[in-house]
Amino acid sequence: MGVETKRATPTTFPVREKRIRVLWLILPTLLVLGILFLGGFFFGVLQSFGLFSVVVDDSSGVSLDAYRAALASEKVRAGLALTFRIAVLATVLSTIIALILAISISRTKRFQKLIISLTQFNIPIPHVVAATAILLTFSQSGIISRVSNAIGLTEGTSDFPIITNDPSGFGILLSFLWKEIPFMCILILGALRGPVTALDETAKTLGASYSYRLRKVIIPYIFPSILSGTIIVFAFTFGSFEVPFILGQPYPPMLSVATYEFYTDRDLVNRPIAMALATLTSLSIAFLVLIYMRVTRRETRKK
Amino acid sequence: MKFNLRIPIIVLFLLYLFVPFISIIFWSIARGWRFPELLPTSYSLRAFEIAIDPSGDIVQGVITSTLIALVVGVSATLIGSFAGRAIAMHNFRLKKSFQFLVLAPLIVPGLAVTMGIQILFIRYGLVDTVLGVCLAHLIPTVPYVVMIMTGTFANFDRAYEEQGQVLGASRLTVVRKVTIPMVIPGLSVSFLFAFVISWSEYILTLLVGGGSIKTLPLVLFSFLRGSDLPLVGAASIVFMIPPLILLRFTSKYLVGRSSSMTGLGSV
Repeated sequence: MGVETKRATPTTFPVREKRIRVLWLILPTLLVLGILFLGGFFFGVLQSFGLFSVVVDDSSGVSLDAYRAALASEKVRAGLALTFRIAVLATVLSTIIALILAISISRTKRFQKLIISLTQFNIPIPHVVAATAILLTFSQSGIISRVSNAIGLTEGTSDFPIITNDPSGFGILLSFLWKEIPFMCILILGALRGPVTALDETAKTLGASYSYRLRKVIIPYIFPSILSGTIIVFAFTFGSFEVPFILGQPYPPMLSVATYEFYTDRDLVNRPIAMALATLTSLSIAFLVLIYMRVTRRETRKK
Repeated sequence: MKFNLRIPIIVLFLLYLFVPFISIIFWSIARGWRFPELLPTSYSLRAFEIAIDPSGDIVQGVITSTLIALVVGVSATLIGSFAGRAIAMHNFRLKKSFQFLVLAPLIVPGLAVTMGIQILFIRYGLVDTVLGVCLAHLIPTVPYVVMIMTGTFANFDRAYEEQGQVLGASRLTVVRKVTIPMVIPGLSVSFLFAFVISWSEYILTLLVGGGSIKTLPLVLFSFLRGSDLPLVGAASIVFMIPPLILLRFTSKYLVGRSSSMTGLGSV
């Protein structure tokens, strides 16, 4: 968050009182995230090392068995590949499509307000409903299949390609895109309405063409917003549970579903494996996001 | 671009967004919609009659979900706004670490945290309770509020507050009459996000609530396991209405000259 503000009028509070004021401001968030979030994460990691186990005696100490078991599992490896592929595809596709859309919408004069409100429409729709809607629309007996049957493209249900609950996760991707394109689009539209409009006007008066302004003024300016959006989308789609649970397949499972299966397994020995998987998932996302931020920061600095 | 692609792109996109809604609506009022039929041949309101049955799962789910989402929406908005103000308007030690802590829950999946936290919740008797579910829902919601409010307070001019103080208003009056009206767009969008995230949450509720706190997502999941698609359709529609009502009142703040989404663009 690069928000730095400098006020011309410094407040007259003594330093000490100011410090206490800041502490009061951040304390509630600190308590919630420090205890619930960090605590939860920390206890999860401890359990992944075999501590606090319900079945195994604690005194055996720290062990990496759960990690070994998780990484040795064929299901986990296939799931990791699938999860990575879908999260990357969802992020890249939703960003590109949303950027094209946002620019198209911002250049459209007629019905612009209506189009924007329609785009906003599914931002608050729960992911569970999104997945359900995609299921009812794209399954072999869904509405698309019926239309394609009616116009003679396909014949019957089995002739229609398996899009939902398919091994390649196409249905999951469709559901993510359905939610994330509008999210990214509204984020970009918001950035397009910001201070960049004044810069754009200046460039226009100076005679720059639209495509030149787009490349040299508009996109560089809204780039930070796009980056933040991609990080949110990537982290979300990588860890999301509901959508793959509805639209996925038993094999290969998305990582979140595999984690949940280990966790709720009747055999409690599998619980540390679930914790190890959850820890590995968090670390992978954090690692990928960090690399991504490094690379993109360097790129933006070059410009 | 001589050839204008804008219109077809937008139309195609809107079709992608709205065809799934159409299939939900038709399923909710269909009576036996067999395969080759393009549209249902007969309609019935049976699913909605089940949906509005006061002792039925859906009505009970709506009550539980509304209660939890309201509590979470209000508390997360309050908690996160303070932190947003601190980040945007003050410099303090370990500020970078604090900002990192705020962003971390967006990176670490809720599933990971909840599985870990259950052991604490069991110890303090918070599992299977509404309070426990509300606490768990604060984890994914507070970060969004902090981000949105950081963006809001970044454009906030403290001179207005000082003006009020100079003119003799008490601190409370300044907050009520100056601060809140100025940041109301951010507060509204924060509440929208917090309410909707809590309202939609499935896995945290399932793990902490142990299946006995039946919010609407849990009800919808149990219908999905059955084969009554009209009921799935009706439950989905009931599920969408409150977030859409909220959006109706906050949409003017999402994309506007002072868009509150900019806070999300500053990770």
